[in-house]
Amino acid sequence: MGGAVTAVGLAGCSGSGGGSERDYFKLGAVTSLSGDLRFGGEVTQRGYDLWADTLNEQQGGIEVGGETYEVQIEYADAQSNPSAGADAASQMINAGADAVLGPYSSNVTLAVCPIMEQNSMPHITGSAESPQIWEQGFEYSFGTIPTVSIIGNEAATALLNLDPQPESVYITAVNEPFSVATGEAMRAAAEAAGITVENYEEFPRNTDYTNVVSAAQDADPDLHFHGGHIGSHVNLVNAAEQLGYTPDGFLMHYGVNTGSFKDGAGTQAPHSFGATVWIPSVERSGGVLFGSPGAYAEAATAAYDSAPDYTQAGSTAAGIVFQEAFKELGAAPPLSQDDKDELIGILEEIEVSTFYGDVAFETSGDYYHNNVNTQTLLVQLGTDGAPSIVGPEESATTEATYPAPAWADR
Amino acid sequence: MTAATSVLDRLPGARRYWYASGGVLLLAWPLVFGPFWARIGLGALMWIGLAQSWNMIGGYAGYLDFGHGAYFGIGAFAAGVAMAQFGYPFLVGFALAAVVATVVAAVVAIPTLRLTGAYFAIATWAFAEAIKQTALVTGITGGTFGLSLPRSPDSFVGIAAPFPISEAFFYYAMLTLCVGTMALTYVLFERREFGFRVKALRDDQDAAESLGIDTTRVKRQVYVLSCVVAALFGAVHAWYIVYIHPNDVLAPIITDRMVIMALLGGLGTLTGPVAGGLLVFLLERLSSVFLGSTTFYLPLIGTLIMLTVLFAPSGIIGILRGEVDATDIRENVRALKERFNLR
Amino acid sequence: MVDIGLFTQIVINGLLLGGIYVTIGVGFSLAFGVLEVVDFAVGEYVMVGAFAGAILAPLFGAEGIFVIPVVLVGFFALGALVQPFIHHVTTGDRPHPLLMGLVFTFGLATFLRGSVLTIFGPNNRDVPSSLLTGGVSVSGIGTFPVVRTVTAVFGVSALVVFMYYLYRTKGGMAIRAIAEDRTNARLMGININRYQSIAYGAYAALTGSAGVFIGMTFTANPGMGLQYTAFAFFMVVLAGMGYLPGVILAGVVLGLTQSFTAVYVSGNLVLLVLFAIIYLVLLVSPAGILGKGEWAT
Repeated sequence: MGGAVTAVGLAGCSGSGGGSERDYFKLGAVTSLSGDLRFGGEVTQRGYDLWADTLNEQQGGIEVGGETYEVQIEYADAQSNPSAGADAASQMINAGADAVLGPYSSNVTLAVCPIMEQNSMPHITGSAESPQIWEQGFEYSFGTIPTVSIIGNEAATALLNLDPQPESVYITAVNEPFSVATGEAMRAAAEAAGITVENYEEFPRNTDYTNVVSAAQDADPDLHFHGGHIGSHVNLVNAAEQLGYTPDGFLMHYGVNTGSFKDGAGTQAPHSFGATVWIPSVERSGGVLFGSPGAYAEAATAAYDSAPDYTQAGSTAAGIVFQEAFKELGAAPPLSQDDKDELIGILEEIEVSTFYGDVAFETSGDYYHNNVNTQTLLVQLGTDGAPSIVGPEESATTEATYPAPAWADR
Repeated sequence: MTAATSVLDRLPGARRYWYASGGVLLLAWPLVFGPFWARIGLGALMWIGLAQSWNMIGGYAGYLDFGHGAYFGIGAFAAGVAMAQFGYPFLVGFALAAVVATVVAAVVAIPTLRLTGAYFAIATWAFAEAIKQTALVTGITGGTFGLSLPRSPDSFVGIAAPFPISEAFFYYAMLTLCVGTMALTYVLFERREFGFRVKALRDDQDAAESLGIDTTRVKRQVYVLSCVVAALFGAVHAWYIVYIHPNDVLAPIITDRMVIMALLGGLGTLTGPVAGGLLVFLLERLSSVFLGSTTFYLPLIGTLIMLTVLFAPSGIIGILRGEVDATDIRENVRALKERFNLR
Repeated sequence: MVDIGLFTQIVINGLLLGGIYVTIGVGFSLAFGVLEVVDFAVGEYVMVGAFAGAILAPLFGAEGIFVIPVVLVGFFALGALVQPFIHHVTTGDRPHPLLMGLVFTFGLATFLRGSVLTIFGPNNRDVPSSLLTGGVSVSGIGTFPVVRTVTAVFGVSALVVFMYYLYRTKGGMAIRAIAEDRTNARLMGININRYQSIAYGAYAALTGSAGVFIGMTFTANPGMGLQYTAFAFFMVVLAGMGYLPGVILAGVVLGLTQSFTAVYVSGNLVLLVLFAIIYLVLLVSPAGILGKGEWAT
């Protein structure tokens, strides 16, 4: 695996920042390589590595002023908690990185961004989705994945537009920042579409879902929306099967189209609706570095023996954005502080067309420095558990199985 | 048992030169080694202090407080609320943390310290979890979204500070707190009569009572003191990490870590928390360097804990003091083998 | 205006949830009564049991139930192996026996959780069961999810079996003797090691099997242990430590409280209410709701 990865610890801290000669671009990457979020961190790592490796192999690196400079990524482990994440961020700054690629989870990102801000270090996260991040208005941080407020809203709207039109919806969310933001986004979509929201309920992660399901069953909604992580979705559909609760469809975010949900939910997984901004079979005009979503999926499978999801795609896209920005900057590594400040200006204006989608960052409003351009897709799992795009109308490749069949009929 | 020879006696040179150079190293640490190691250093100092605070109530007084971490979180949120919700500078938040912790601990102490042993442990655990749930649902603590603290030059005392609020600043803050905690523990528990009273009530509460010691009062004093210390560390931590959330600063792992550190180091000793704190903290923080990106350090720590409890119950300090040597271990193993005798 | 249909369903949910808790509480109460150890590893036995269900079920035609006998035997052996260590650290000349036991089992729990996480990864795994699917709808009352009903029956049956063993057999009498006065029991010629191993082994076997059921009801995940450790503690606090019949009452109280709070108060407050109840019960009546537990220190 050429030119990319070194797990860093003692080695990384001996450097004292820019000034010394370097003939490659050094990207720091802060993500959770151990701890509870290890799986997610690994996803971002693959995304970042695939970008750097492909770039170095195909183009030799980034071309600036007639010279081509390789890209090397140095990793620091956030260990799935904000404290260690902040330390890792500081480590990257110390190591004199030209720019930083960001963490997997939102709460680690919220601890990392202030560090980036204090040290004026350009930073793009290819994963974190919480709207809280963008509300803070960090100047030096950007994100390629649209905030969940948008994803939740657009996916819900797409589902609500299916035939036959639903009249009522029951919304639940796990009491965690990301999930609550998702639930509220879905509620906003329902209210905007004039659909009755039977109830909006939040509860802790370890709640027993029979009660959630019983209350929902009593309200007899057409659709059920749920914000949470994979474990909670599994529990929800399991409890629904046990109690015979079948609304016309379950829309759950995040993680319906992941292997973990499929494995965890078993026979209850098919026909679940989920939200994403990218899957390998989506049609997007390729662009920089990877010709098309299919080509990216192929490269990813060849490298890691598993199909990529949108977080991995978003992470690669983050790298690609830096690549184009460095080219436009036209400065050789190592980047000076002035270079980095200029880079921020470039990032604010830049528009990059990638296999992941079109990326451009907002420069004002609630989603400051978030990429809201990549379109949300409504997906549904087939009987084999594989996702297909069923909405919005202009992007759909398959017709949705809607209403979803009852548990007993599957 | 063989005569105990302390490891410290086997070092070359007089003890005081070792202490002096250690002190200089501590003071110069961030300046010599830079921000990254300053962060590692301040993390270690904080956990040593926290382990010491638990040692007060758990080691010296013998009350297994499994909700101690809640006060760390209470201190963090006190500072957080003061700074983020009301715009006060850090020193106000710091003071508020002390006040809130004192009040809560004093109120909780009265009914809870009547329990002992496992009952006290579970009660304090339930209390801590209830605090976490409360923080998750009340608006002032940011509810499920947590709090983001401001970090500007004038958020320290209200007017611009003459020094940067950098890693070095937090290192010295934690160093001050840690050294203060150690000094407090030393004076109160090892030098003053107070320490004898505490240890007496740990060893035999009834006997202590019959000697005229007001165990109820002593217990409460130790409890409140230990909780306030934890809260102060929490306040500094909150400003350092800038984003606090109940699932991070009120997590059960905080208490668990404190207990493990105190136990591995040596309960009821002054330097036990230092040894235990350093060992566990460095093991966790630097594990990804030596073990790569795995969770292997978890079963490793688990095994370490089990082995320590089995063969070195007086912790690292006990080992260093020469209280555990080969004969002890052999005897230990022999006794253990007997337990397997099922006939 | 209370909706009767929803109301009775919530009652059912609560009772069945309590049944799940009973399966964990029975073994734990026994272990505490006999060994006087508050076992931090109880939730991890549940977790490992659930994983055993997930991993082994394919060998039995993707039917989780058939894994149970394997788990019963395997975990009994595991428990019998672990027990001497616990006995060792909580007796003898050691200081702080209670803390030693707690911390040792905490180390064991960390070891188990870390091992499963390292070997199997952090993702959820389904424990399949084609026999225990869906729910039985009794008109006018509500729906009884099959897997939960079976779990509850299992838990209550286990309780009855344990009670029979304890009060109607010689072996059970030996165990009760040990629980009451260990020194005298030894003087009477009872082999402490053997009966403690039997007790702890039975506890591990039962808890592991509970794990398989819980895996079938929910899912298997390396991080699931902590919440069940918490609930096990709740159970024995409410039941009165070492008082087996109290376990049923404790399960019912916990299950119903959870269900009613979730639906009629607010989902967010469920855990807060539970923890508050535990704390208050300990303050007011440490020997359990019925006041029949050991007032041990």
